[in-house]
Amino acid sequence: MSIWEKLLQIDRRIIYLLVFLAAIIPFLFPAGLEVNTTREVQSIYDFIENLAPGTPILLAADYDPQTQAENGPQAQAVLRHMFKKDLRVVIMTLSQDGAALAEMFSNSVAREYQKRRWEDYTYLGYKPYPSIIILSLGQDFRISYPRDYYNRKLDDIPMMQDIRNLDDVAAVIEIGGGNVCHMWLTYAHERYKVPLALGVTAVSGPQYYPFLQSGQLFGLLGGLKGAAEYETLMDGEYTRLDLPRKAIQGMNVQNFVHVLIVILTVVGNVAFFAIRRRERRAS
Amino acid sequence: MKRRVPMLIVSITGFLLTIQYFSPHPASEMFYNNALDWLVIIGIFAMPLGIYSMVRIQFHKVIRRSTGWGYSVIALISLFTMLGLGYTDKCLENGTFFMKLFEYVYIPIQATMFSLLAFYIASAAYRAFRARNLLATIVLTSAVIVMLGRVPIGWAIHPLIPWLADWIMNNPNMAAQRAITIGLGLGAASTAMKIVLGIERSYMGME
Repeated sequence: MSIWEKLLQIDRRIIYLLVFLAAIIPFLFPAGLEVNTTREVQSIYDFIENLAPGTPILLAADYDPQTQAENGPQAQAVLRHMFKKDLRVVIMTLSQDGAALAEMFSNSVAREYQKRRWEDYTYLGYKPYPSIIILSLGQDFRISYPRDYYNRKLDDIPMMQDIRNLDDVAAVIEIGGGNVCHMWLTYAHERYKVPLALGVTAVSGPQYYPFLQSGQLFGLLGGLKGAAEYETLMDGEYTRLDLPRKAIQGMNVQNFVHVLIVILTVVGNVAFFAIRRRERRAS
Repeated sequence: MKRRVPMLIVSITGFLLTIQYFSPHPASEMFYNNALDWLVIIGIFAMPLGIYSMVRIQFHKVIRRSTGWGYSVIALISLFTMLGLGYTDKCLENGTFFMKLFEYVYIPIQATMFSLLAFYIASAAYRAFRARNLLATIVLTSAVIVMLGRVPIGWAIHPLIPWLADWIMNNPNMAAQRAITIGLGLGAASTAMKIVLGIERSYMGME
């Protein structure tokens, strides 16, 4: 057996070990490379930056623990920006596993900015059947959410007094990992014409580019890179509050793992061609 | 009768909701709001059905000692534990046992499952990602450029790499995605039309 054949038949556990090391080493020795920002992330930042204080905005945190590593930093960065701009934030989730996650991150970010529940932000919680809920939000938030997550009537919440439906919010920022993003596009943006931006996982990011070009989305956060770009744009705020830049730290890991996958692909192809060349010569 | 009535309900509702979409009349709005209420009510019925179905399947596995019946026991215990703990008003407050189970058991399990993808992708890239012909080479080259262009090291190697990655995402990728989306949209619309017209009946378990 030649060295190339041996190389191609390498035990997959060795590859797993390499991935493991590529994921661990950057935590110990961060590369600290600069994250460049893209147009689609910058446009979300600019949109929020240009809103007047007190403007209502809806943050839909429709992700679950599976995609938390990517969607979590996105949601936190965007919410920090909203609180920094003193917007009135309505937070909700259409992911059954996301209710507790959304509550945890919204309360923790609110504490950083000393924001008061029901006055500066309201967490509506989770309701099942996303498409139905999105459609009902276009009519009245109170159809699907007569009470918020803490069982307080929406009519009794001070900041919700003048927020009845999607017409009353400046935009919807949807952070999600599944097909609920498509539902927001179809049922919220197309039906009720509310400006929409998405934060999605890196895997599902490519399918939303057509909607960016058509103007149906005004921005897109793609995976951890999108979150890292947003953290870069919010750098001053992270420094001021001495907050960990989770997405930028995560990009260090992604750097190594992506490079490892590229190296593995190249090595695999070199071995493949070397074997094929030898076989052709032999025949 | 058992078949005609459900089909008639589907057809009438489908037609009315299609017409409603294009009409801003108050009667149309009222119908739409009522339809939304009905959707929520009907949707809720699916939940106990799902729980019943899950319990039944897992319970039968345990009774018959089928392969992996131990996992079914864990599934049932987990289901009823979370149901029981989640029944109180205060279960969602920080520090409760329910939240601890969610935070320290459920979240890590789910995150681990998703993280395993990285290991499989690396192994698959090594074994299966081959430049066997022109099309495969184009896919391979694009993948390498996008992988490098989407992380800061791509920029550090050469600014052209992230530029190329963006170009791939905004042009060839977008064109292909648009074609897929339009195809899916047309497929969904024609299926909906077939259901409303009673041609497609597989949703009722009919051919």
